[in-house]
Amino acid sequence: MLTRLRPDGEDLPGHQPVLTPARLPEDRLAAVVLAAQAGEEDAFSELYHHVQPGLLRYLTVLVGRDAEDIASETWLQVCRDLHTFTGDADGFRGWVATIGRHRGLDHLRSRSRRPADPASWDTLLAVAGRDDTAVQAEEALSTSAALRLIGELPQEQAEAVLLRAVIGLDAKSAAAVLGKSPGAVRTSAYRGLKNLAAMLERGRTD
Amino acid sequence: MTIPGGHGSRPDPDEQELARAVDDSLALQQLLAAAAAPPSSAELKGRSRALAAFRAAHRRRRRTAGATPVEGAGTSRTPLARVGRFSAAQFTVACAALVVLLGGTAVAAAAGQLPPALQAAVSELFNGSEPAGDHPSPKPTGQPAPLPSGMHNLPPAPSGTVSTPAGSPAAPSGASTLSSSAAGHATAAQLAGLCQAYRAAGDPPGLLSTPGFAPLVDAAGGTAAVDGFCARLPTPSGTGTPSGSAPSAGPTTPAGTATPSGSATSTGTALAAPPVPHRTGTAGPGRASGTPGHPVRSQARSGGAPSRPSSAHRTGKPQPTKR
Repeated sequence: MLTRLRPDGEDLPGHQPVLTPARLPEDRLAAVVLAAQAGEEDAFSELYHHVQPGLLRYLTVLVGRDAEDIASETWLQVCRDLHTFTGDADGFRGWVATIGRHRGLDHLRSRSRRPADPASWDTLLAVAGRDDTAVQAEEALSTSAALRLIGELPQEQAEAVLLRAVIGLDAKSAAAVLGKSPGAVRTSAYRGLKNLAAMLERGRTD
Repeated sequence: MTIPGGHGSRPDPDEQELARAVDDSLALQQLLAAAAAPPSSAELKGRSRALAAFRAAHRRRRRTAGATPVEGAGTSRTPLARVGRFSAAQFTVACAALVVLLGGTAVAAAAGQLPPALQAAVSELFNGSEPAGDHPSPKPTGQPAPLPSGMHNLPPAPSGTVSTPAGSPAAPSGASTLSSSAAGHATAAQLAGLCQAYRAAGDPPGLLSTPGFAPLVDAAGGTAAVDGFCARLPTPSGTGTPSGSAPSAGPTTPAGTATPSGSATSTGTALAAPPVPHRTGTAGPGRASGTPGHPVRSQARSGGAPSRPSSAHRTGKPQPTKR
């Protein structure tokens, strides 16, 4: 009943808008969520493939080197509570992001220090690093380098940018994840984007 | 330039501003493309673990939905209500239990993520799981083997566990029987760990519905049977562990020198219950409580060979038990 999605997303449309990460069509994702709720492993696997990269990258910026552990915990909770989820595709991405965020912040509180000490970045970059074979021609920047740059933003800007541009939430869903108004999230994202552009510009002229 | 959510006919001005901010900088576009690039295989390596959790959660949910109420603990609650009253702290316990099963304990424990009681249990489980000293190493022959020492290191069960007066002879072969009945030492140790986690959590509603406890529920034969099952698992017998206590050694004197009598006796009693086909959950407590002055040893040894706890039916491989 479910057509398998290309596992690596290579043949997704090449003209993806920049702020829209590779993603399943909305109705497709909604159908996959329903199938996973019914216990279909293939559907869950597809869901994981679709949601995990954005989640992991978001958590990487949020908590640093422990992102993988937090992502695992997040999936355990998703598995446990999947049957309780109701909502559309954006709602699902937001739901998972919310769970991940809560676990990430709990983790930070228990560790009680900010993640991005220079030593941890090395580990983190190794974790988040991509296969060289997957690097595409137009990418002057690796995913890990991009995440590192985003991680230099103030946290609320970084989160807003990641939720919007990497996880692919709209302003309303991102606002729900962050417990803010959509306008506040837009403002954070806007400032974050402007700061990133400035950082890139500086990097170019240095 | 499209921004997610900007699909309305009249996009928010702020959304347009966002889009413009991106359009203005090619470098920024490249950065965002890189940040949202297709995943590497490294990013997806947790898939099998997540899938295992998914499978367990689904199996568990189905079982809970179809479970028949059995006399005993917690049956007044509906499964759904139990899940609903599940708290975050309890989830931590469940997660931790699953992490134990999946082998990531070092990570969780090192990060100090586990509740203290569980943390202690986990440490013991992993630090003490090497057979100590003169313990024979586990043989795959189906011969009853001594319990891995980790099992003996588990702290005593809470006072709710079945207990009999001190001085009752302990069943010398109880522990051996248990480990031989499970698929292997790892399984027995895991079950002990899960029981430990279950006790440490104090039976919060919904705990057993979590994927992490699925193996325990499987082994016990249902949520309602978990209490009994855990009570039958040997709890720490301290110095009372006879290293040569393989049942084939014949009727040895109970090594009950410093054995906490409660746990040892309840173990022996439960082990003496008929091997499986019907529910053995109530046999242990019922018999144990009524025998203040009666030695339990006759039950424990009556067959000349150890019987096995009900967990045996999980493996589907009955041990060579002569009765």
